[in-house]
This record gives sequence, C-alpha cells and structure tokens, in this order.
Amino acid sequence: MRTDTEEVTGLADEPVADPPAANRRRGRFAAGGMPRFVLRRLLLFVPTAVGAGLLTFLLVKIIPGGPAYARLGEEATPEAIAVVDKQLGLDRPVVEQFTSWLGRALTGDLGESFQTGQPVSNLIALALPVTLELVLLAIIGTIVVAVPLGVYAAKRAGRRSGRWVRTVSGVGLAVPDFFLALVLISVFSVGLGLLPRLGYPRFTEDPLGNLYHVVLPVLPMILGGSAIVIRQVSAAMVDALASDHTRTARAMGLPERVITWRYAFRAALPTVLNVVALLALGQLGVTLVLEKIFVLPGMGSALVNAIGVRDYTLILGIVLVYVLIALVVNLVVDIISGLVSPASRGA
Amino acid sequence: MPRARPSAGLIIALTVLIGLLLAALLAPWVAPYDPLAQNLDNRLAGPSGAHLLGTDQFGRDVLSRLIWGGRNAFGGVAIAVGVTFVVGVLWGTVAGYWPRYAGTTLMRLADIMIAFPTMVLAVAITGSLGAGLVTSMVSIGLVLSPNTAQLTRSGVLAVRQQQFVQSARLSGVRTPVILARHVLPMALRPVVVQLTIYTGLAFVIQGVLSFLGLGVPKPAPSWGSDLSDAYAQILSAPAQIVAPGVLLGVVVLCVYRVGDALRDRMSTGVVRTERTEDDLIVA
Repeated sequence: MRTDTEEVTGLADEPVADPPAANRRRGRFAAGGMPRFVLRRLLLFVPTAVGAGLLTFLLVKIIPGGPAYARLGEEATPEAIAVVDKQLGLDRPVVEQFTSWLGRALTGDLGESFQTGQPVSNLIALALPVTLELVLLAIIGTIVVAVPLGVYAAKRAGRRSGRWVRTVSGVGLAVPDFFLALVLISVFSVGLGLLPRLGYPRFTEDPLGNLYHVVLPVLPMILGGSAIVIRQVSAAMVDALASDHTRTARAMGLPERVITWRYAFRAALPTVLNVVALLALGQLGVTLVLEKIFVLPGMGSALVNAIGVRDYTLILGIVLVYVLIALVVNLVVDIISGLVSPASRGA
Repeated sequence: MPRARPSAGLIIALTVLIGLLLAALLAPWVAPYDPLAQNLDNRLAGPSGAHLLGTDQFGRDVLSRLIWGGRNAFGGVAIAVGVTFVVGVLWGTVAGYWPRYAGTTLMRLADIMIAFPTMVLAVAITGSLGAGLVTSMVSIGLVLSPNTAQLTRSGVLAVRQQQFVQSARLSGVRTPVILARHVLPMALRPVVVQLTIYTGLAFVIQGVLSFLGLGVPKPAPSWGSDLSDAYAQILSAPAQIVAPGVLLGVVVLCVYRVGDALRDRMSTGVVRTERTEDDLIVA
C-alpha cells in the first residue's frame, strides 16, 4: 500500500515487495497507535542527528591540508602547522575529536571563529533570525498564493483556465530563483524605484522598515515555491476529488464548497503539508544565494563568507545548525502527517 | 504500446538543446569573438550588428561568452549527472538486492544525507574541496545521489520479486548477470526520468555555485559568474542580466520538457515514475 507521504517524497518503501510481511510490520506499529508512533519517531531522531553531526564533521575534515593549513596559508612550516593543530586539538584521534566536539555542541558551545575569535554560537544567534524570517515569510506567502490556485486548477482540471495555471507554474519551475530575484530587482528597485534592494533594519528595532526591506528578497521565493506547490496541490486535489468518499458526499447533496474544502482538501492535506515542509527546506538553500544578492546578514551569507576565508569552526557550526533545523522540520512533519493520516504511521 | 508522435514542444526543446550543445562544442568556429578579449572603449553596449547581444563591463562580446560558457555548463552538468548515476545506482542496487543489513545501513546513510538541504550541502562540500568546475560539479553529483539511490532501491526491490527474476535465480544464473540483464533494465526506468530532471536541476545549482564564486574561476566564461558580473552593473545597465539568465532558464525549461516526455513513455506497471515536481522539490 502506498501512502500520501511516499507519493510526495518519492521515498516509497518496498512498493510491492513481499506484501504480507509489509502488512504485518505495518499492522504491528499501527496497533501501537499514535503515542507509540511518536515515541518511535523521536527515538529515531537521535541516531539520525548524531549521524548528520558526524557527516558534517567529516565534511569539514576533507578541506585539503586541514584547517591549520587553510589558516596559515601555503607558506606554513610543518612546525607552525603542528602548533596550530595542537591548539585546535587536531592532533588527537578523530573519534575523540568528534565526541568532544559533539559533547560541546550539545551544550551550545560551537567553538570560536578562526577569523574573528568570536564564539560561533553568538554569530549564529545573530544570523539565524534573518534566514528564518525569510523562509517563514516565503512559506506563508507561498501557502496564500499556491493553495487556492492549486485547488482552482484541480477543480477546472479539464478546462482551459485550469490548464493555464498548470502551464504557467510549469514555466515557473524552470526559472532559477536567483535570476528571478535579479529581474525583480531591475524592475521594482532599479526601474520603478518602489522597493529597496539593500539594507536590513532588524525587526526588533524597526518592524515596518524590516518588512519593507524583505519584500524583494522574499518575492522570488514565493513565486518559485508557488510553481511547485500549485502543481502538487492540484495533483493531490484531482485525486481527492475523484475518490469514492467525495462521490458519496456529492451524492448526499452536500454543497460543493463543503465537498471541496472539508472533504477533498482534508484528504489532500498530508500531501500539502509534506510539500510545504520539503519546500521550507529547499527555501533554506535558496536563501544562501538570495542573502548574497541582497547583502542580508543571514546564515547563507555567513556560510559563503566562512568558506571564502576557510573559517573551519564557523563552517562546521553553520552546517550543523542547518541540519538540525532540517531534521526538526522532518520530525514535526512526520508527526503531523501521522496525526492527519494514520496510514503514514507505519512507514 | 503504440508510440505517440512527439509533440511540437518536445521537438522544439530537443532542437534548442542540441543546437546549444553543438554551438558549445564548435565554440572556436561559431563564436564571433574571443570570450576573454576586452575592449574598454566599447563597454556595456547594447545589441548591435557587430555584437548581437552587446558587450559586458569589460567590452567583451556577450554572445561569445555565452557560447564558450556553454562548454562549462554542459561539461559540468555531464560530470554531475554522471556522478549521481554511478554513485546512486550502485548504492541503490546494493541496498535493494541485499535489503537486510547492507540495505538498511546504506538507506540510513541516504536518509541522513537527504536531511541536509541540497544547496547547503552542495555549497559546503564545494567549499571544503575548494572552488572549481570539477569539485563543484562532483559535489552536486554526490548531493543528488542519495535520492537516486532511494529510487533505484525501490525499483530493484519491486523487480526482484517478479517471477522472471526468481526463475533466473533458481536456474542458477549468477547474481551480477541477473542484476544487469533482468533487474536493472526495468528498475532503472524511473531513474532515467529522475536523472533527466536532475540534469535541469544541475544546471540551476551550477549557476548558483558559480554565481557565488564557487564554480569556474573568473574570467573564464560561465553563465552563473556572468550573471554575477551583470548584477554588479545592475544600476548602470540592468539589461545585462537578461541574456545569461534567459539562456539558463530556457535550457532548464527544455530539459524538463524532455524529462516530462520521457516520463510519459517510461511508465510501466511494476515500477512507478514520479511526477516532475516530486523530483524538483529536493532542491
């Protein structure tokens, strides 16, 4: 049996392989019900997070010549490298390095930046809200734009207006977000002078100014995200509107609006939630380049700058935070999907 | 299954892609100017008979840069998709054919890698290896491969249970032969479609990486870094972004169109093909 969750992510487990065994397994977990499912999912989170931490750690290990070399430059003598390695604890066995890094990371201590000497956690505390604001506004905007349009396209799937929505969103899929940003800048900022391109007042100091300055960075994310979400919502709604329970609701003479939103949309909801969550993670990546374009002091700018100066501890800290956010989003979505649709609990 | 005639859209898409690929391959003969030749007397010029797409901030011919940049674009994407294919298919085949221990371990690893936002992981790997065409494209290939591994695995799992595979096994055919001749040809159908979509995605991610200065070093022509050069001139010459940006968008659109057409042809009973947007959402 296929669930809605799998349909979206393409992560279908064992589509037809050994169905009796699959059912037995599913049945066992289904019998445990919701609390058991949440517990299992939470327990699974720990090894995944540790694994992601290890992967991050190893990722930065592949810097050619190691961080001391990157810091001291090509002229570095072996003695100088040895001194820096000792300072950073890089002369110890890798396993020990990893466990001590992870142990300190758990207490919020991500070490000091190579470049500035400031605690990495302080730098991240400044940058993270900027990025989260962009993603959050982009997701809200996408839902507002894409869900009604997707439902509309599904209700008119056979007609010209519905096809138009799908065609336009299909073209939207192909337009790179960062190019869209450049086009919007040249139209709304350079051409019409309506919206600012640069500058970022903090929300806590100047809420309105802050929102005014993030319109242009968020707009390409909303448009790009909507292109994906419209098509997903409309596909899920076409299935839901064609299902037996919708037909029953229609046969009972319920008003069309109730059928669409209370019955069909509810059936499509797990798909929509999943898409939106995956999109949020994708948008986290898009902010990388948008922050660079709009010179915003977020995580993306920080990461790209840290890579530019080979700031080993900063790269490590930033990537770790990105991954933790991604893992938590995945966890929350799985749990919500489990609440909305019992079928996805087993997978 | 009767073959449908290719649609006009598909023919246009294929023509555009083949034309651009040929132009890139034949760049020394096709490009009107040297892509690096500067002419500071003729900077940021609009389109004219001498320079069909105008000139950039160093007076270099934009059209010639885009044609030469196509070499980096197509070559780089070929590296990325090649890496995804080799790594992802091996990974998924092993996990699908030996699902118990190897499969579980390998798929855990895939889950972990997929948890990283694609672009963040691509930037981090490229940054760690050092900027450059090959490193950035290998990074993209590696980042996309766990998705391909998952799709391969579910295809292999599905096909493995089919009777013709069971009978091949019972009649003593060796495992590599079973995999290569009986399992993979069917199991890889959705993977081919996914890789086509990833080809488009790789063009975009490559553009982003070179826009961020992590791809081909300047002044070598590449669409992404030409866009970042154009963005530096946005106040004086906002039209500079149009040519490289539209080119990138058109290429991606054409690749997705081909992917859609492949998807329609490759749908079979046993192994499911995903929808285009399902594959896209990973980025």
